[in-house]
Amino acid sequence: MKKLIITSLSLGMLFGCASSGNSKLTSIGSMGNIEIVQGSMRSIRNANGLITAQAVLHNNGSSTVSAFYRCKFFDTNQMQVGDDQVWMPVSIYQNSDQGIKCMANTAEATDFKFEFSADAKNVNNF
Amino acid sequence: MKKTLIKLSLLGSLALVGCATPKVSYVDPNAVTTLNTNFSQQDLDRVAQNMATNLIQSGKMNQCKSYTLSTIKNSTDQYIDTSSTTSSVSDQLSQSSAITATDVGIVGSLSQNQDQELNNQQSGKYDDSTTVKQGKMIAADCRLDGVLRSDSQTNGKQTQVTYSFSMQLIKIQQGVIIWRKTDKIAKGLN
Repeated sequence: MKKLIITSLSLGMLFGCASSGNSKLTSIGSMGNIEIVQGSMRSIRNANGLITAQAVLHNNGSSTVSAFYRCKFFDTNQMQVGDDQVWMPVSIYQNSDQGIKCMANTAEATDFKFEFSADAKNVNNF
Repeated sequence: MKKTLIKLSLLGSLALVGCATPKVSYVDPNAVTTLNTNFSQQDLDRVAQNMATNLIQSGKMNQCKSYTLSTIKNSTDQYIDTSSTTSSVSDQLSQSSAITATDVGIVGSLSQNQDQELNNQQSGKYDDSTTVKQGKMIAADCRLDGVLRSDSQTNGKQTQVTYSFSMQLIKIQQGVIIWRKTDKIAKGLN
């Protein structure tokens, strides 16, 4: 029974929507060697009244990671504002930082969430 | 014996290939497509999203009272329906609450439809008090132009195709460029 629980938990961690420990980021699959630089995830409201969300990713591995990200924006009632965005490619070189950012297109957006996939297979139809 | 074996192999192949029914399913149109190095619908959406976001963020669009979008020029060696790129940029701009300029982007086939309707209403078939008048359309203050280019590099089995998408916002009266951006997408095959 104990073995079954441990196996289930391990599989869940490997294949499920892994939590990065940050409520503003959902990882589709494992984050692998990528981590969010602490304190880098934030949003600002620009002169147009639109919020821009940004984060810095760090690759701890020894090879370049071709990852994908996109953002979701929410209003004050935590309802999603706008349609789902298309996935943006980002290359994160070994032992390097790479910034990512998104902008809401309506002033109704007050909150954001990043979706991240360290592997193209997780966000590919084929 | 040999003939029997050949017949059995053929039957087996038919059973494996012939009876397989292709399965159709709905897929996410926003998902990543890495089937080939061609400029895909997702690439189109990606550049349109980047361009519109950058333009909205620059605030330059609000220097225009109204704007029109020219059909984006395709300077690649592929067939690409660039009118969908134009529509995608236009959609993103018109959905933004930060854009105050009015989209008067009636170009291409839409312009033909508009001309046809205007001429139709002036044909004498309709009650004059209900018809629209010629010369009342709002002219664009600014124009958004775009061009898509590609560059291909091959080395044996390795190929890299880089697509450059450039857009510029022009004040029509003065003929000056008030915003300009180039976005690149590179796709590799190895």
